[in-house]
Amino acid sequence: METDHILEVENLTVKYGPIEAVKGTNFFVGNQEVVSILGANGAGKSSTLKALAGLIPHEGRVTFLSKDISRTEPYIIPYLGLTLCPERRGIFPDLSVEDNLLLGAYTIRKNKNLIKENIRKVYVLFQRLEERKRQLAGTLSGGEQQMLAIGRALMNDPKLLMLDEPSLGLSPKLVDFIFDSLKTINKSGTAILLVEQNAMIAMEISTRIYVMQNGKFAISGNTKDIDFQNLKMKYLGV
Amino acid sequence: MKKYLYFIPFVLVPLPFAGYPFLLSIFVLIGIYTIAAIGMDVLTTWAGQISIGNAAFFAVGAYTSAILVVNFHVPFLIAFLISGLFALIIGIVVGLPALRVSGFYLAVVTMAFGIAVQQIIGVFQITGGYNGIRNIPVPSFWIFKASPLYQYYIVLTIIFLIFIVLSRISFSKSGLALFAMRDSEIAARSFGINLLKYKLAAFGSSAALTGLAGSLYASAIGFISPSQFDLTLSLDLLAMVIVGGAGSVMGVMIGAAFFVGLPFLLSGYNISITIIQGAVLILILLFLPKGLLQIFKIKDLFKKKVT
Amino acid sequence: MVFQQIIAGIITGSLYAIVALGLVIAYKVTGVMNFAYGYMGMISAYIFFTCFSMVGMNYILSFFIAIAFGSFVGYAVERGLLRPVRNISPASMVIITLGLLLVLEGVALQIWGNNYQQIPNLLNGLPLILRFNGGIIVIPQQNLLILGVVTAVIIALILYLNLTFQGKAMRAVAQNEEIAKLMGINSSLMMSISWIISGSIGALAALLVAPQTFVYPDMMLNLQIMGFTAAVLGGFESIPGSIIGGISIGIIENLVGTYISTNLKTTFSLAIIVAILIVKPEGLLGSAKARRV
Repeated sequence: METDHILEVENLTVKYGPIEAVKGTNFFVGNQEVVSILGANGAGKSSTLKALAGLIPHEGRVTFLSKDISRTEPYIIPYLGLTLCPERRGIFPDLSVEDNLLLGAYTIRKNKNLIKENIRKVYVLFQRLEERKRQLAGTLSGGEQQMLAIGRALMNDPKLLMLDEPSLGLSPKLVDFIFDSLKTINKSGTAILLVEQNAMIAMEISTRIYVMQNGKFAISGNTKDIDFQNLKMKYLGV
Repeated sequence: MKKYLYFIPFVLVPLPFAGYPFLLSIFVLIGIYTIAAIGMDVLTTWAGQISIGNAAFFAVGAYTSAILVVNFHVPFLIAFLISGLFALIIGIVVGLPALRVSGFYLAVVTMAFGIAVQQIIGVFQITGGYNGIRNIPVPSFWIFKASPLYQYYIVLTIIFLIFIVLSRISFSKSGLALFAMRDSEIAARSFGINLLKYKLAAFGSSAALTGLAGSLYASAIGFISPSQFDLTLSLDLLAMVIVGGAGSVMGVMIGAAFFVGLPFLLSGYNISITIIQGAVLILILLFLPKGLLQIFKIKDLFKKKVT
Repeated sequence: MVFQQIIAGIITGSLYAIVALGLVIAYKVTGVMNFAYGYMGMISAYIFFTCFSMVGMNYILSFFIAIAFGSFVGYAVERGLLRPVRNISPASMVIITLGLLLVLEGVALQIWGNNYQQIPNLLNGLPLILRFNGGIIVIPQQNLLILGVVTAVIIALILYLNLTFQGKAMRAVAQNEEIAKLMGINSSLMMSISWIISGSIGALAALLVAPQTFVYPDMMLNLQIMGFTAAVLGGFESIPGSIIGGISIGIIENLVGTYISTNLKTTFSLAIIVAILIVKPEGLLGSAKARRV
């Protein structure tokens, strides 16, 4: 395989009992790339991310930085530089904003200076979090919770950041802000694997996209080569 | 009607042992605990409410019956019915908090109730304080002499009657409402099921059955004191249901037989019974979640396949 | 003497409070309400009795051996009995702990018999006597020790959970195990640690109460019931709730015992608590939404 692929996924299958949510998909993420997996609700996108993070049982081969992580325990995976940012409800509501961020740095907990530096970087990116750092995370607004989830995922300097529906339930203005931040994050050297229903906004920042339908990729390719009419058809399932 | 035939062997079982009153009295105890455990089963398996205080209903039945018979010379049958009724009333009162609290909280409330009743009966004069009540007479009617065989058939008849009533209820509208409440209170309420009525009914009937069993127990053993109705008894009743097989009279009977019979089987050995009881309970939960009945069912199926 | 009774209530209540804390910490992290909790502590009291009175070891050494044993029992129970059934149902886990209660009771009977064994107080000096214009308050040294140890444990636990990385990670697992794993937190390890802490707290409670209750298989029954009630009163989720719940039950119980009836003090206290629960089913400091059943 080409060495510039940070993540290589072969024949990924996820089953819930007799139902196959993901049916043998193949894809990759290149160095410093932004890749999006698009699709409607229930297409198998979130299952894909959860499988990569090791949270749900799966078949197939997942290679991250030339290392096979198909059977790796979920709590080991962030140590390798692969971090999943769950959808915004996945913050710790009864912990303060700052404690949420600190837990994002759990894998580098011995390195106090690096943690300080990373918290500062997150606060530069999302000033709102600094203003509310003592507040319980559960009291934040939806947009702030999303910022917290992303900020927390950045705390251990991931090489590849996976995001589950960062636009979900946010106003268009906030969605623009979040996606601008993702662009900034990518520019500083972090590759991004994005799962989204909001195809338009995701395509704006992605180099390549995969469109998922019923657990398989219906379309894939460079964003600029995608036939928009075809995409719309596949996407809407008509 | 076929299910009633299961009772025929139980009618015949004691006959070969007619000359062994000790063995028969163990069978009688098994029957009595079966009734109490059915009371627990109704509450837990049917209505989905937990109780670790059912020993209190057992105590209420035993003491009511014993006081009436010993102090007031009330005929046993009447004392028996009054003790069931009294336990029913107490059960409904205890059911009231269950309308507000559920799950673990209910476990704690019922545990508190069990402890409180044990303490109360230890304090009052009429209950004999910590010494309890002695020399409770064995009931005898008319031409029947007070013998273990006779007690056995009385208990068996009562179990049979309970069985008939319960099978009627389980197929009725009320039974369905109870099961719906167990599976989801919110869904049950949305179908217009009156949770208040069914929860109180579950607690009331559980208490009544346990109280009746307590009344039989007092007259079968002849001696009662507060220490017989402790937390361990509540746990044993719960364990009988789980070990034998929840939701089935036969399963509960197997559980009762196991818990009552074991101390007698092991009486010759120097080993604490609670170790075995607790260990069996844990092992059943780990490996046979449907109880010992599961083993018997599997054998039944096997036979059918062969023939 | 109301003040004397309130002080005595605070001391018994502080024991209820740490039992409640031990129950709550295991419950928050692993979701198991441990009905064998007091009995696990009881075994440690017997271990102390064996080391100190039978083998003749030093008091402090025996004390720490017993606590270490308690933490081991906590670890073993979670790892060996409860983890295999984690995904079955909460009810099964409760009943497994009830089975464990029976086993531990039997084990104690089997090994140490049914006699009441005596354990001496660690501190037997003159009691502390406070005089003021209304009268005097007498506090035995052992009770001061109980108060001091319990306060120290509570402070240590609060600092651990709020200030250390591991403590925060444990709270994260309690709130959302799956998300905690995404942070790189080994949730299995956190569960083990929570039961180790819980087990050692249970052993500590048993050792502190043993000089008063004597050591016998059911020695912890009352403490366990009151600890549960304290935890429930506090909402079963909250550490301050457990402390407030424990202390208030201790005070209620002592006042009832003095002014209403000694024989029925448990009954009256439980009745008051049930009444509180009926009015406020989620406990004094609990929140209805956070209930994990």
